[in-house]
Amino acid sequence: MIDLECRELVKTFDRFTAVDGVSLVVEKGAFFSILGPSGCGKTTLMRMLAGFETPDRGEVRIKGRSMLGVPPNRRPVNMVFQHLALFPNMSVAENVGYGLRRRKTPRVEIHRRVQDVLSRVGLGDSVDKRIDQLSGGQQQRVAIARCLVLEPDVLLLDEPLGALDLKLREHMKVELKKLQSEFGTTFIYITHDQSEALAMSDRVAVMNRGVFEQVGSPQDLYYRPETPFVASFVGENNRWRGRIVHRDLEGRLQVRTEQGMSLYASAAGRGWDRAGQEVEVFVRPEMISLSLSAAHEEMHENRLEGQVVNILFDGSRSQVLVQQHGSDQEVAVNLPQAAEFSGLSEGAPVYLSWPSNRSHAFPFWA
Amino acid sequence: MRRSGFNLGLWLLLSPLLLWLLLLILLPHVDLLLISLRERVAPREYAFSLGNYREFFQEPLYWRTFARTALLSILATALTLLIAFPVSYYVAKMLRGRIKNALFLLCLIPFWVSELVRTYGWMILLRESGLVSNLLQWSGLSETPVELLYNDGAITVGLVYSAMLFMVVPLITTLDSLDDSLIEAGYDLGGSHWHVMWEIVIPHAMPGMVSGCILVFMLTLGNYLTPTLLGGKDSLWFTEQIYTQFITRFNWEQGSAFGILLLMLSSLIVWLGLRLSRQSFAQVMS
Ligand SMILES: Nc1ncnc2c1ncn2[C@@H]1O[C@H](COP(=O)(O)OP(=O)(O)OP(=O)(O)O)[C@@H](O)[C@H]1O
Ligand SMILES: [Mg+2]
Repeated sequence: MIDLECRELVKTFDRFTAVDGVSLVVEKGAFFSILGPSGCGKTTLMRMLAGFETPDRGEVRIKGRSMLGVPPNRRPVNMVFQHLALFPNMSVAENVGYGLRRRKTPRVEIHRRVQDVLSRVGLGDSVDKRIDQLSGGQQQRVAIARCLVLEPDVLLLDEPLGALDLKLREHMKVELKKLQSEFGTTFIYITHDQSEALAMSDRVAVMNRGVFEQVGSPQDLYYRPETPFVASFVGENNRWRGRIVHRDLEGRLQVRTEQGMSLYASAAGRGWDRAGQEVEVFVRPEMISLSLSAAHEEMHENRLEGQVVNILFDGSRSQVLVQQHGSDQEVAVNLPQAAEFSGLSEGAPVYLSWPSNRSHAFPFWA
Repeated sequence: MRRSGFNLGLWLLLSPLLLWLLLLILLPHVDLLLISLRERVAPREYAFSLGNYREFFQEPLYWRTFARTALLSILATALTLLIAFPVSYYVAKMLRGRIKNALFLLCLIPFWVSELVRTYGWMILLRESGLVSNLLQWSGLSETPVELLYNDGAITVGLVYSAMLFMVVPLITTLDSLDDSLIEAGYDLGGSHWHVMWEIVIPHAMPGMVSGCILVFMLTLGNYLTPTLLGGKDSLWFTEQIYTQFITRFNWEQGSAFGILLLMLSSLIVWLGLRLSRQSFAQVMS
């Protein structure tokens, strides 16, 4: 069953196109994220779903019903605002009860449902507190409870964790996902943080300059990016420019980088991968296996030997910068936490390898 | 040692303010009170007496003027609020950028000319040979010239007009500080225009509304020029009575008693207003 559907949505602010032909379909109970850099039009898109902006073209349908001309207070969607927008003159319970009071729900039932939803988000004992007596994470949960108590078809969340500090954000990430599966509400979640999107979502749309570059599962985006933007925005990358030397029968490309390294890569899309074509190749540091001896247990197509140029220590996310023998090519590789690498120092010889389907080549049009 | 030094510095810093309060506010009022409580028994001889106050209550003209002034001031304040609120809401919340600043300035422009000139403008419009009268005759709505001056309506219009700025400025300031997303959240959760206005906008704007009302009420109550010019000789405004006692009758004792009564009235009404709107004075004036 489809909860929300958009067709070719366009929104222009005096000559600047903020959202440019976005279509999306979200199924009931899904956690759908929209991931994109600042200013790419995420909030504008969400405001069209909530009804605060009218699209110049295109249509929004919720549960099959067109939302054309339906004002925000009549739409079966609710929104958690970027800065929460809790009413400062009301207590926690009054904030959560606001929507129910608007629906003329009997007072006894309002009291029961407010109490119920607040204890479900873990705030059962803060009912009578003022908003400014709550911590950031608690305010967050009040904002979500205030929407969930209305049992909306779709809940829109606009970077709801943006204002929290790192630790709390990690915690709320888990919490939000749990809430979503408990309530079974369809979530549309905006973020510019890829780890939030990958960790929580069933499906993610990567947005750039007003258009969706790719829509897919977190695994799709991570392992099979379709555009250079998706490849570079989701996860970390080695990013090399080069030229196709040869294309074999299985569609594997042999590429020579500008720095003189030769490698095998898989082509994203088809029809452009002729020899001589300029390309950009993306390889994730965590896809490359690092070894201290030439004998690899796995035989990947791409193999090279070099020496350590630099070690960037960052706990579990430490990286090693390796320079290939015989070329200027530098490769960033994740540093495994195994004991044998603990003594690794600059200048040490190392061996790298990775499969061709973990290096993605995109055409580069100069 | 250090503490007394600190205190000395504080007192020095505060001294201009304290002097101002003492010399220009406190002393005159104490003097006013003392004068109002005496009676001339012989030339240059005075005795303590409540006669001036008794006179006020015994002479219907006085206390009726007093009550009328209070009621008209309250009416004018309420009207000012009713007119200023939509205007301020429009300027603060519906407009953005250049046009917003331009409109805000436009609200200020009438106050660049003196109150006398502004009131005279109303006289030009409303008098028997004035613009409105001519317009009515030209359009056939009236046969003869109409006198629109010298009635309570004219006084109220003039009072509202001359006090408008002091309502608009605090209102725009408080409404401007209301986060747009609160209003949007109000709609998003199912509120109608009425609910959003009543539960979100007005509670937020309350301090601005109350401080605007206090300012306007006090200015209106103490206004002398507008009621006299637009209401004519019989405008029956209480400040006029005070003026008459001091200047025409040269009865300082009676005039002082009226002044004290007016002060008590305005304090009482402001206090009531604060109680009714559940605001504290400190909150409203911050
Ligand atoms: N009301 C408006 N008038 C003019 N331009 C606007 C308006 N709202 C948004 N824009 C422009 O549209 C673009 C997209 O804005 P939007 O707020 O949707 O970005 P975003 O993806 O939510 O960014 P962020 O992650 O910083 O919140 C921006 O360049 C912004 O300047
Ligand atoms: Mg945004």
